[in-house]
Amino acid sequence: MTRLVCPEVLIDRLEGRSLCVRVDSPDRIVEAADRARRRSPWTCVICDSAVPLDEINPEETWRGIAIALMAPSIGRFRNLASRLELLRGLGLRVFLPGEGENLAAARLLASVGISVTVTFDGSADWEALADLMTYALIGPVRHAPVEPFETMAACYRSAARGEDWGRAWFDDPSRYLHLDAAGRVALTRRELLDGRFVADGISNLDSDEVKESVEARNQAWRELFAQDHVCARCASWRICGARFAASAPDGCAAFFDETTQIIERRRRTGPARSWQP
Amino acid sequence: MATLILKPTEACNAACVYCEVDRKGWRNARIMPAGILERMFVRIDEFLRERPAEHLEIVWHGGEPLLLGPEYFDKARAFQDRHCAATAGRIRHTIQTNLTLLTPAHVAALRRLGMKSVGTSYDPVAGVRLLKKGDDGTAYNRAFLDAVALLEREGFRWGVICVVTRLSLARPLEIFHFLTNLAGDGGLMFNPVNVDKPEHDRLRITPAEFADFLGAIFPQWWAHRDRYGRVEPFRSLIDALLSEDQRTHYCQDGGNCADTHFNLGPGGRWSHCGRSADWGQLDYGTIFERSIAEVFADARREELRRRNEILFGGDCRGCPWWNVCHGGCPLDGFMNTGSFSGRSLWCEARSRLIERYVVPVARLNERICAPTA
Repeated sequence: MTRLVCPEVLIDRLEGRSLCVRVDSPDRIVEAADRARRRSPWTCVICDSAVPLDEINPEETWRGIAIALMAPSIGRFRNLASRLELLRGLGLRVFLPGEGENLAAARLLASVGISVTVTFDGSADWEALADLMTYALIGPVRHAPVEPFETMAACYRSAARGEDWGRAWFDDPSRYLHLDAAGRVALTRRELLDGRFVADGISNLDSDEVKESVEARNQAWRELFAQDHVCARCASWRICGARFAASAPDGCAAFFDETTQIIERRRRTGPARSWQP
Repeated sequence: MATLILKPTEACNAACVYCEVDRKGWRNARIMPAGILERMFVRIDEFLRERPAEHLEIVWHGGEPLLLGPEYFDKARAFQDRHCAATAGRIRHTIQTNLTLLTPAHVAALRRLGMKSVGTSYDPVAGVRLLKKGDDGTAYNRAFLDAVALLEREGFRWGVICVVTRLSLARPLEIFHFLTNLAGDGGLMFNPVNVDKPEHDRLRITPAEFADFLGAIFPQWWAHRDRYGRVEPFRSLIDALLSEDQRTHYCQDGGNCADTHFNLGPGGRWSHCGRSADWGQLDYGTIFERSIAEVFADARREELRRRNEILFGGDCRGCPWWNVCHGGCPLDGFMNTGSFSGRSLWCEARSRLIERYVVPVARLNERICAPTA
């Protein structure tokens, strides 16, 4: 079932749908979850925080709520120390932009048992990301999952096309559609922010136009082969799926090649440790 | 298993730059009449009844078989139902097509013939695959890519042959990745271009160049062979080097085509295989005169049967790679030496590929089986 990533204001209009409710402050998490839970087989709350993780006070009332907490950074780790036990016990995943000190911070959070996701685009520091990916997939010490690498590993198929790992970022139109406050529908968060919509209202959510747009997006990779795009000829295509084709970045091929090898190594040897939440 | 290369038409909708089919005026070629198609199933039933343990693979070939239209395939299915009621379970249909004419109706008709996969060919090199002479290949590429998308939506698998020309030589790994990325879990086979017209000199490659092209890919394939579908000639080569089972080969290398392959052209003439029919060699008469059993008993097959013995004790004596190629395709041998008992020109490609690339990269030295007659 497609999940709808939507602002709080739409909850009442989306009864019966699986929702990822987007709030802009940690203060809204509990109420948004309560409202969604009453009307929907809801999925999670996505909280866009403008402040670092260390300035957010997690609450006992968050227990039982799946929360994707998007923060610009973790702030000072020592400020988190007193909240680690609570953070670990929540259904919380911290999303960080995958740049600069956040890459080390992601490892730090994972090492103390807090699930973490890093987001990145074609301008990523691929070398630094490769380091984090290696830790995430075959690091020998116990740690919480680090995404999107776990999803990459789960989606990778030997001798076949893999699945879209963008789901780790809510960025996979066959699983997630993004709605703005007016109910307009976009295929990704980026396209929503850019004002590129495939339907102009909630009433069109199940329209053929939306279904065709999703199918077209799922098949869009084929166009790269028609263009003989550099990504179509890349050894790493089968894992990255040309996710960064538009920006044609340097370094992504080497990163994804290394990622493929690490995933294959992990499959051969088994995980170095097992994570237990 | 016996293999019938069925050419119900020799016409083709494409104009690939290396294709020399026009030597027989194929662009205006006829389509196999229904009477011959029906007769074929009568002959097949007769053959399979005589040999209860035998199976038959019908390879729909051409020309371009999709030119026939879906109705033609349905007609074949009806004839099979009518004449092969007791033997149909031992008949398997496959197809080799450029796919550019594929429609949902074709897919449905192929499915009714029991097909779940198709063989195709594609070359991701600009200006090679064309629908019309002089075009830029865009229309061909679009049609092909749309067709493979359709096949996948319909749940069909597909494998692809890539013809290596001089235009391919500069980018072996890019071509390999392009095709394995596109085909997913489908197979991939590289074949060398086979041209003899002077105007095709710009496409012609030597056996050494073909070996070096494959040699540039082999280390990548070997190191990560679990990532790809079946890639040829590598998979068969490794299997043949490490086992004495000679049946893992494709027809050109198995050394046993005399007892497995036959061809039927649109006019109802039997030949040995698709290539012999293309080249006007080894004509075994017509479907009205001769049964399939008689075609397999044709005296000219004796030379092909003796070929292994002649080569093993002659031109191929002492060759450590005999198990791999058995002197190659007899038709290539004929083109190279004027005799079906001659060695293929492409033997050199095999030995160079094995010695320079396969054995050192895969470290097979101590594991290779000794050649056997």
